[in-house]
Amino acid sequence: MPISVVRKPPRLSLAELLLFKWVLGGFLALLAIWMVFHVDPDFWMTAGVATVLVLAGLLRPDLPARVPDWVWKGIVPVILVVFLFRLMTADLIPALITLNIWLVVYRTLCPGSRREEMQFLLLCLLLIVVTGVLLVSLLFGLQLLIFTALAMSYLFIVNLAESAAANAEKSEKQWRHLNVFFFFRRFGQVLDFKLVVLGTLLFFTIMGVSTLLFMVIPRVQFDGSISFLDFNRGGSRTGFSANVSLGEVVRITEDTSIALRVDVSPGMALPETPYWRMVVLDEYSRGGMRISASAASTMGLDWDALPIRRHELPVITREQGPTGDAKGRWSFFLEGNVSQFLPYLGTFERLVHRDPGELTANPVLGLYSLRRISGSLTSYQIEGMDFSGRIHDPVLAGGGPLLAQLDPFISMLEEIHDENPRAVAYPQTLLQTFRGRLHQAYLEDLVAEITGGREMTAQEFSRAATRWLASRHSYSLSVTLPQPEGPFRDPVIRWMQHELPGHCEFFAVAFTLLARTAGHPTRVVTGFKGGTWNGFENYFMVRNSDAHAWCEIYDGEGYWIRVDPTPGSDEVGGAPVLMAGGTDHFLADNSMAAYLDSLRMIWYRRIVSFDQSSQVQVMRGVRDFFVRSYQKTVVLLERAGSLFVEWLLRPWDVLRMGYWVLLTLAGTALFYLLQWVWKHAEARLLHSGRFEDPVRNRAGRYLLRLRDMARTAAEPLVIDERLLDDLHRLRYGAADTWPDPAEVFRRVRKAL
Amino acid sequence: MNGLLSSATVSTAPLREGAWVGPGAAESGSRLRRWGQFLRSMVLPPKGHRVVPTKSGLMLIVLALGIGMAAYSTSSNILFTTLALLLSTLILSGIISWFNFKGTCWRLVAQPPFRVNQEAVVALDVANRKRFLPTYSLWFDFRLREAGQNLRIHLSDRLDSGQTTRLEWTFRPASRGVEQVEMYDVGSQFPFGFLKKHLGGIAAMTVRIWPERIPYTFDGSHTSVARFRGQMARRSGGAGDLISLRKYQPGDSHRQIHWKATARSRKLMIRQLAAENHGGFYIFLDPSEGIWKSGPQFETLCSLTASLAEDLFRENLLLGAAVCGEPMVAVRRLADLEAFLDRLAVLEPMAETGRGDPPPFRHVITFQPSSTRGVHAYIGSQKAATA
Repeated sequence: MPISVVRKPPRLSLAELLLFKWVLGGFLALLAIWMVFHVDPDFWMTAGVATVLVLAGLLRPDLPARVPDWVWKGIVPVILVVFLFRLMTADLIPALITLNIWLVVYRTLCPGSRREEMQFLLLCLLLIVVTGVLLVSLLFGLQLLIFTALAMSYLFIVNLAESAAANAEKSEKQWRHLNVFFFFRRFGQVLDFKLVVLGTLLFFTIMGVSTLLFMVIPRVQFDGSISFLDFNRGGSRTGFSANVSLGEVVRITEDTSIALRVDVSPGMALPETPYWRMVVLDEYSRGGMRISASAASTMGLDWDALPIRRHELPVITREQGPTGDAKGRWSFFLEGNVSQFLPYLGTFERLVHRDPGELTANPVLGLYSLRRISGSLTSYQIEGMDFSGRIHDPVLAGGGPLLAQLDPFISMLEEIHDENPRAVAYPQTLLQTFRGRLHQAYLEDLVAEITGGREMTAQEFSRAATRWLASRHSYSLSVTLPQPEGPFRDPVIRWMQHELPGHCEFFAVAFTLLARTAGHPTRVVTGFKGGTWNGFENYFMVRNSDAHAWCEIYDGEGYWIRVDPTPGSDEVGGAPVLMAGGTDHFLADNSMAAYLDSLRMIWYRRIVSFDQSSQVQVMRGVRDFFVRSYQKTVVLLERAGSLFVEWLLRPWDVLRMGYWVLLTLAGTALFYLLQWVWKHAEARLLHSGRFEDPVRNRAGRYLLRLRDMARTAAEPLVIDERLLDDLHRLRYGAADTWPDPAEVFRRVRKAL
Repeated sequence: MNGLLSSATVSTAPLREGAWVGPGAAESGSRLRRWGQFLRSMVLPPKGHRVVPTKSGLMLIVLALGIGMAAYSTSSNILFTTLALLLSTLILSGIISWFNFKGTCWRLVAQPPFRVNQEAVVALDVANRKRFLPTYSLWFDFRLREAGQNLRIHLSDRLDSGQTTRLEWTFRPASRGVEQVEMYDVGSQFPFGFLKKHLGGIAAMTVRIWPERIPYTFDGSHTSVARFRGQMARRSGGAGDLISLRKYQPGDSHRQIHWKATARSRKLMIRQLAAENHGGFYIFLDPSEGIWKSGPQFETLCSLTASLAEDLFRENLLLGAAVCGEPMVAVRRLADLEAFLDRLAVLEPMAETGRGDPPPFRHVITFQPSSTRGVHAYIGSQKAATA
């Protein structure tokens, strides 16, 4: 085999390869640091300085080279000291992130041997993973994709540079003085089609294999999984906490970001206006509502030890129920730092969470919450949800006096009460209004005005009180209360006295006070009302601006009935309107923002929520696909076979035979034509370097022009034989036998 | 011919090329058969094939283990995603490495002459016989078995499909004899440097190292150049007046072919030049242990003989050469000279033979030791050269 003489396409020199590696390293570092900006404002300063340093080094590679070696050697101990200091003044995770950032910067600007370059990559990956776990964001997916492409290229270039350096006679140190912008132009010159195709193919192959591995890696779930890198970045929104002051829910509505995404079980009758209940507040205090200490202390109790009808309580588990599909399974994705309380619509049978130990339940108030607020996304599923608008109360559902049935529970509440005799214990908190006679008397007057002195059921009173409130107060997000005058200092009483417009919290608290005065146990609920239907991926998008407050009134029969006293709402104690058409009646949001959010939802559904059951589902899907495909193929083959036999048995005459012979010939000719075309196309693709050589191309063009000239000339054209020989050599000959192309082309131009 | 002779080589011997070896060389047969071979190699790797994780690869494996444990402990799909990515990178690293070697083959090429204390070139032709994919970043480990030298050369440039490149390396042999040039390993860390793939022992080639060229003085002016009946004649032609035409004989230079006469007679005819009939010298070497008791002196003998033979050949004055006990070989063309030098490369002192006297020609150069290390060359009884 002769040595190839095809002229080599331009390649990057060792210096250019080293500069390329430097540039890629800079991009990798910037990519890793980028997500830190999203974690917490506390990191902005560190991440900003790190970005500036990396950018400076990226654009001026000669700058880090000017730093003396002893400085580089001294930097690592300094970084460790900073880490220890941060560790003493902050949590472990912020300190670790800071350490990681500085190590990435150090490795970016001071790269060393191959092992250290690997360390650099791993540091970048670690930073990306830590921020990814904290944020559980779609951006992590994007970041990981870009990281993969860059890291692959980086390692590839490291490999090439090592090979080139091994053959280099002297070590190359001048690369730091090359111009980065010039390099990009040079990079464009050496980039060829084949390389781009191969790189792209490799990237997608890695993505494909990763996806496959992600799906098939066995998900063995251990009990008591560790909470990894859970970093509280600022606590829950106050409107969704255990203590809500007036106006705090409305403040949440100023934020239009999405707080909750809900995957709806298909084909079910859904409430026209969903109320996503999160926090139930039973105690009133100076214009605010809160979860009373006694009710809060029942969170996380061993409910099995209590004589409550255990089967009436929802199950909190890791396993999905076998009947989940039949009774409806809803998937919730609650964004980080919204609340520690989990939103849901109504009484349900089963709550599925990857780590049930992280959850606490309070069946007294119907609350389900995380033990501590999560800074990252929380996903869970609820099965068998009831949309009747009635919440079953397993404690009060005893029907008779509580003391008779719930001795241990009540004695426990009494113990709490004994510790703080001034406090009102649950369930007395549900009827609590004011200690002062004056306020109480005012409320009683109002109740008398509402009821007209009649005895009313909870539903009747709800309707009457809601109508009464709507007649005196209009809705407004902005409320200006007058200065307290006289003995009435409570803000809600003053709001009612002055017949001011108000927002949902005023209506809810006012209704609660009125209903309690009328003798109906009532509580305030905060959460979200409504939501937007995402038309791209079919799920609810609930924004913070959907935050709302409403009430629940006890019907005396073991159920809490939802009452929304805010004007404009139909929820006044009756059964909510259920839409039989499932999600069809929701007006779909098909905006660009919804589309972008749908991508996030895909990420949550396919990646974040992927678990053992999803794995089984995927396997079943694959198996079903193959079984279906096999069955379809068998049917098609049988059908094709019978058609062929039928066609064969039809009478053959000359015309029909000729037709089929011609068709067969045409088919064969087409086959060979396509084969020929493919062969030539393949040759062009595989040996693109030869055909794309500008000198050869130009020689070819000149040869064509000379041929055309000779053909069209009136008289026989005399062309210099040597010139033709040279042109042919440039077009078809080996590159090392070429005459000077510029000289040949000059002679051709002269001849033309 | 007088004074110190030039040390330039006279050899124009063709390259010695070994057989193509490597994954690309063996790719023959039907596509189905090749796939069969491939699948078999996946289960039973061919002898010498090894894949070893590098330090970077070990770091990656340890990291993957750590992330895997964290993923299982926390059920975090973010960590499972990262684990899947790391594992896929490792797996694809192995597959791409396999693709990199696939269709690649190489052969050893020796570029004679190999001479003691002169730089010798050994080359490796590397061919990429893949249809589409290029080959990157291979290294080749060489070993000189006798000299105990090792060397690694790298394929630093991309080798596109269908292309061949030549990698060369030089070495300086220390002693004459037979040297085994071995390429004992081919490896690569392509593409990401996580895995080091070796293909093991691959190719070998035997080369003869000729004696060293040494400076010497030669004075053959006292000899007559008249030729005697029965003496050998060189036919290389190359200088002097045209005497006549004669038939071509093997070994004649093609440049001396007289094409017009050839066309007329329809036989290859050669221009016979006056130089052909000039006299010349015979070299006769007696390696008896009794004469050459010192090893260095024997080496000097070989070096002087080789240098003299080469220089006389260049001057068209070498008629024949022989080692005592072996028939006199006429040196008519370069191959004859190289055969004699090859013989000198492996020549060892022999037991007292008495197997033969110098041939009964005039101008036979013989050798005798002088003092402790030196060697004299004699023509008849006249001292003609000293080294």
